[in-house]
Amino acid sequence: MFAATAQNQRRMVIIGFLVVPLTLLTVFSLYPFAQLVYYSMTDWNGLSPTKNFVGLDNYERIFFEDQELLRPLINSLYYFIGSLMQLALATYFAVILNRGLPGSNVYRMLLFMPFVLNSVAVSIIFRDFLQIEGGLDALMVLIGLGAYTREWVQDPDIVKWSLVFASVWRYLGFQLLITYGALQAVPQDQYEAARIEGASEWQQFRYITFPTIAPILGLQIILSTVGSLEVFDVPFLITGGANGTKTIIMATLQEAFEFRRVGLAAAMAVILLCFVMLVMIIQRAVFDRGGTK
Amino acid sequence: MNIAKRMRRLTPRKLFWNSVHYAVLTFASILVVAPLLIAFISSFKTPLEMLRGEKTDLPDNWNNLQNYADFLEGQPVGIAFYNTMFVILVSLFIVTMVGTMAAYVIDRFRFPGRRLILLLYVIVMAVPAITTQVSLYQVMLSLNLVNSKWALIVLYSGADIVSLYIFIVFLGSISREIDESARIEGASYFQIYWKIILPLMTPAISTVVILRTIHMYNDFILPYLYTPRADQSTVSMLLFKASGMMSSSTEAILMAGIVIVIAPTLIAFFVLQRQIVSGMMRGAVKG
Repeated sequence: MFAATAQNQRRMVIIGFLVVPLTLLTVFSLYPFAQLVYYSMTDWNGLSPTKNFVGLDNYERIFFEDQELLRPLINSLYYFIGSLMQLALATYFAVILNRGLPGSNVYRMLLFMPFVLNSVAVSIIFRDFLQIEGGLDALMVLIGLGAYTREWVQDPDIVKWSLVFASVWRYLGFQLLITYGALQAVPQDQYEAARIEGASEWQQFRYITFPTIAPILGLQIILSTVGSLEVFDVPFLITGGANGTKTIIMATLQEAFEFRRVGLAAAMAVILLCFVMLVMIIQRAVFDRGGTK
Repeated sequence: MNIAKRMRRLTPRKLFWNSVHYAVLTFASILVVAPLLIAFISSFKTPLEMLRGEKTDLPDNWNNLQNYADFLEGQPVGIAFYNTMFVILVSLFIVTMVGTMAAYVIDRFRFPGRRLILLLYVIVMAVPAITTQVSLYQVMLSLNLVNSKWALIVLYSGADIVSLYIFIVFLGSISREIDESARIEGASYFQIYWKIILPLMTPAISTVVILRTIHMYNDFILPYLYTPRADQSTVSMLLFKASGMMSSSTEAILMAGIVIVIAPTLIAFFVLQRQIVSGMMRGAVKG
């Protein structure tokens, strides 16, 4: 009798505690995911009550007929290159801040600060900062570089790098913090020993620091790859996608909500999703190999 | 190691490199702070000053709060802050309760379907939320949630797998001995959750609270898609809408609005920096 009620109680807790999260998971994650795949095989416009099943037509159109649609993917490349430079910078900052030079904490805080600020606020600030005769130009004039000012947002050759700069500005501190966290795991006595042996700073980095933080750096490269496929806020709010700065997320949302081609947008989203999954699978493969080595 | 000892080891070569490092750090910090500082300075300028002077010129009158008054008067600031706080508090409550309960069951019990549930969560975590908005929007429409702040609440708490993951990992590191002995003494499973597990999870809860609050306060995409109407929206949409209405002659007013939105974050950031930094480092490693 007692055993039976204990069994009941156990069942009730399991079901009771899981019913809400599983409902949420189903309604807001699993079902939309399944719907996305389904929509991608229809010609639905988002409004009409009828959707015609068109098979893989949308995919065919994206890959073979209307290649403009995937063009924004090229912009991800800029953000990817930017994020690699960002990682190099972040690692450099993390390493020198980790030495405990006086004032390290202040620098770490300042560099991390942009990450906690509101997306829209930061983007508007940058939109103004990069304007003609905006803050950046004024600063350059102030330090005597007035001759080198450019049309940071208007010039199509420069605008992509300006946006990458805004994005590095925002996320550098976050990578710095993660790398800094990884550096805490490096045993300090190894540096002490290396110094006694007369190892240079570069040698210390190359043979002590780098091997310890390499896995975290690898993980950050993967995350950057995924991140550069998903860029939206910063370019959307600064240029609205003008001047060839549209990202693939912007293009997808535009197809769905502005041009009312939900089927096509869904297919684009599925393709993007496959790219992201592919990156994740590569990450798994690389990390598993690293683990058994 | 004390500073005197350290100073003695400073060779000219080291001194040189340290100066280089400091110069680079200072340069980077200036680049980080400059845009923010210029926005702050601009928020005190008169339209004439904005038009005539350089962006780096200081305002004539630091007591000129006209831009702040104009922004507070012309924009639904109160309702935006109220909505933001409402969304954050309700979502945090749901995430904490639902997440810790789910983590308790998933970590402490072995039952049929457990592996399937874990697998589903892993799959969903790999799918970037931003890609499914096209179809999620239709779900929200059919639930009649578009244009309601409840849309934000259900998405911030319902589609948040990372927090659940943090809870499960944390609970896995807590020994089962305490709840097993409570069980022997006759406590019910619910009592164990409420009196033992939940209090023990405080560090994980505070990590989740920090990460989620920062995210929700700063997020743009969800308010943009699901609460375009000002009366239901958050501070992100407040600024987005205001920026659409303003022209270059009212730029300073917009800057005042930006300062109003950023100021609470900056204050919280400097007061809680230790907690935020450690919370970030703990939460970030999960990926």
